[in-house]
Amino acid sequence: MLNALKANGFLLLECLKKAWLIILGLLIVYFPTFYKLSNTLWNQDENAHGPIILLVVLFLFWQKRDLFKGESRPAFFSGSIIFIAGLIFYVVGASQDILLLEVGSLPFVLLGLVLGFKGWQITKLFLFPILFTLFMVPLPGFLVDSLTGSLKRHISELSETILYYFGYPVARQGVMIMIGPFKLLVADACSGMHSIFSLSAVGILYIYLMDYKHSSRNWLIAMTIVPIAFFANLCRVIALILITYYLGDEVGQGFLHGFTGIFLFVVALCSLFLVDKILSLIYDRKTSLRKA
Amino acid sequence: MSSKPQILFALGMIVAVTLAHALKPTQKIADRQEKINLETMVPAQFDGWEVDKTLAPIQVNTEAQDVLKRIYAQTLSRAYVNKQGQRVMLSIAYGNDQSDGMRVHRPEVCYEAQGFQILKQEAGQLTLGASVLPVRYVLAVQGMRIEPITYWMTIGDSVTKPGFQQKIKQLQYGLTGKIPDGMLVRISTIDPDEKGAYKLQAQFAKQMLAAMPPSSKVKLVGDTPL
Repeated sequence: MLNALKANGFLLLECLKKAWLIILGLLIVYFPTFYKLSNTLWNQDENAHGPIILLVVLFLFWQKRDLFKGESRPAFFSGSIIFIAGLIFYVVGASQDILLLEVGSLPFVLLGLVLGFKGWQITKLFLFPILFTLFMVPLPGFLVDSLTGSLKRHISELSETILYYFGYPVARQGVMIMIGPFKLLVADACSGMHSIFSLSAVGILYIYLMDYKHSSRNWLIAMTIVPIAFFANLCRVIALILITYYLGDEVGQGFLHGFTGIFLFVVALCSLFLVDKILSLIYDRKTSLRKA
Repeated sequence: MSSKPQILFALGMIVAVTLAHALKPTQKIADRQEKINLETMVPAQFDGWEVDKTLAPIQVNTEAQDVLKRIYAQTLSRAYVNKQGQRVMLSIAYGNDQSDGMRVHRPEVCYEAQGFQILKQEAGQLTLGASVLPVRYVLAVQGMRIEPITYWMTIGDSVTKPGFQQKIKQLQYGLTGKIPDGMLVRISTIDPDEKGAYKLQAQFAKQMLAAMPPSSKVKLVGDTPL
């Protein structure tokens, strides 16, 4: 264990020695950005996944560090063009306080660097960690607003329809749901917008790590992520309505409110694994049949 | 990795950081203009309307007030009443720093933060003489209090639709080193009749603007020709 740690330490030093200029440059450019994020956006519930994404990206790069050692044909020209485009986004974003551009410059800068030093072959292998940084980019406000609005409407309509079907005394006015004596507002947070976003990140990471041979299997899993997140959130909202109906307003807005949030995430993740399990029945049989 | 490209890439990054710092806007437009005094700029009495001291517009809690003070240079809250006894609340917030971090808060957001439910929000147009003011209609409800709201906002010297257009406007100022000021004008009534309320608010806005000298009017509706 200690030896492994030592070995890793050596490796880290070696990397630093070879590429210290680039690493220092990246730190100078992005440390202030991440420092700012950690004091603002990352403290909000809806963007709390940011630092985790950053750690995952760093880990994935570290895991593939050996690829930097090998010989390669650098694509200096294409790399520097993408790199410069990224830096322009950064300059506009950082000077004008537009996080979308400031953080959004990161994939371009990384892509430009890897391409410029290691060429297309190696860049392909780093494409996933580079593109995964996109999940750190805060969605633009107008997009969040419009998506949140329509999700909210659908969630309210569906929960009303379902509860009505099961005979509950339920009525709806816009995004306000009345059940028995209670009036509940389907707030922005209930839209599930952010759980869809963070579950997508987790799901895509899962697909990448499982590294299945069949790309159709990957696509099938990917396509189920958003519907799963949506239905998990629908279940959450209905559960909250029923908790309020049976146990009262305080309980519905109390700790159970937060608890159902965690519950949602667990249920959604388990559903995702279940989908994969079912797919494995089909795909693994295919493979073994082919072998036979 | 060979070191020559490394030096070039590293140089690029240092240039970017330096540029980002240098391009940070510093020049406040508000500092170059005459000081604004909302209290005297908006007439207390016009065209049948007068300030109603018996009814105060929605008061915010102290915590929110601190935030308001930090964001806005000046705020004005008044209730007006006319001969028919109709009441209209006027709230104007002026901020002298409308860079992204300090931008005006949209009523949709701050009403909701104070426990109102926002049942509706949509873009609309307020016809003022020959020109059209892009406004937003918001319906805020808290218990029995149904409050339709009409509001508009300015960035620098023109009325701007909140959202994307507001961003572009800020960027235009920002990239030329300027920090624009901005104003949010909110007119609301407590009235379950939504349509009627918006009509009354439009009428109130027109009469108020008509009663103001052009120099003050410009501050409220920008360079929109009236």
